[in-house]
Amino acid sequence: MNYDKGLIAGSSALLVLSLLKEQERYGYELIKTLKDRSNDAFDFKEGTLYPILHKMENEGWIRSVSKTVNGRTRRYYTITARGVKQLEAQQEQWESFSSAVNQVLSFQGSGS
Amino acid sequence: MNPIETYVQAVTAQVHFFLDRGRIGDELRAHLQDSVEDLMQEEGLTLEQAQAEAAARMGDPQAVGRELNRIHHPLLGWLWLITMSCAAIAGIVFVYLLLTAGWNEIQYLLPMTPEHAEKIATVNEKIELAGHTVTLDALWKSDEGELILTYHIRNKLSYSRSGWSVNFFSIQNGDDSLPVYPYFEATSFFGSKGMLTFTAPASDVIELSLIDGQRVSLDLKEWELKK
Repeated sequence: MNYDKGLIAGSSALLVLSLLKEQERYGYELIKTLKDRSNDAFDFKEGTLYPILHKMENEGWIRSVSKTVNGRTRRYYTITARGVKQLEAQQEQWESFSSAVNQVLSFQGSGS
Repeated sequence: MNPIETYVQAVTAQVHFFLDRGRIGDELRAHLQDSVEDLMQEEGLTLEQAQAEAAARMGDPQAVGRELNRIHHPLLGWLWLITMSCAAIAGIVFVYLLLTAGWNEIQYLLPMTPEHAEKIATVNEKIELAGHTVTLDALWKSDEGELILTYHIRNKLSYSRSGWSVNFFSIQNGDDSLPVYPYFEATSFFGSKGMLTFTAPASDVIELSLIDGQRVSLDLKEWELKK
């Protein structure tokens, strides 16, 4: 589905952080997990994940390490303590934002 | 060049801070390899098809590259690099100075050994001179038949290092010959060592003239000299 780019950009950090809170992952794994869990709703250009990951690493929300597993070398990302705080803050923000939007949309006023 | 390489190069070419290009390239390559594997397995594509599809799914390489470039900011990268280089250079210089200082101290502690000479007597005479202790160590005979007197000076630590440009003493062989001054081998925080080379006196007595006016006579017959 083609979501508004603005919507995706705003939520991508939230999505990535929540996935990394579960366990450490590498880039391709994140893409696949997002696709699977959203039933292909989140199927954006894979390359765009990396600027997001590198930015988050600069911010100190995640950190990365190169690991070789079964002969394959990949960069694995883990969430940091700061990242966990950031995730909670963004989750709160998302919940209050989306409930506010829903509230406005579902408003049954007298005489519309 | 296969589609994977083409894609990776297209992205990394946008990153101006070239020192990060290797890492970024490796990460993208690993991603694409995983993607190709899955496409071949799940979609039944051939290698060529899978490579092309994997690259296509990544999105516009220029756009990705530009975004990465903004994050791998050259200015901060260079600043960090320069700071680290300066720190590394300072560290190396510090270690070098430490080692050379240490080496000087070791040199001083080793006994003075003239080349092309044979030790003929151990003197071990101490002279007090201007608060320093001058120890005459040994007498040597050089291959050319000259005598060499080796010594070392221990500085009292309340003084700064012995002024090595000042000649504390000289040897005078008779009034008409020129005085012989020491040759300083090593100076350190603790003192210095050196030697004087002179022709053997006709009498078996060496006259030392010290800078404070002292005169010390060394009677060669006192020691067992191997002639």
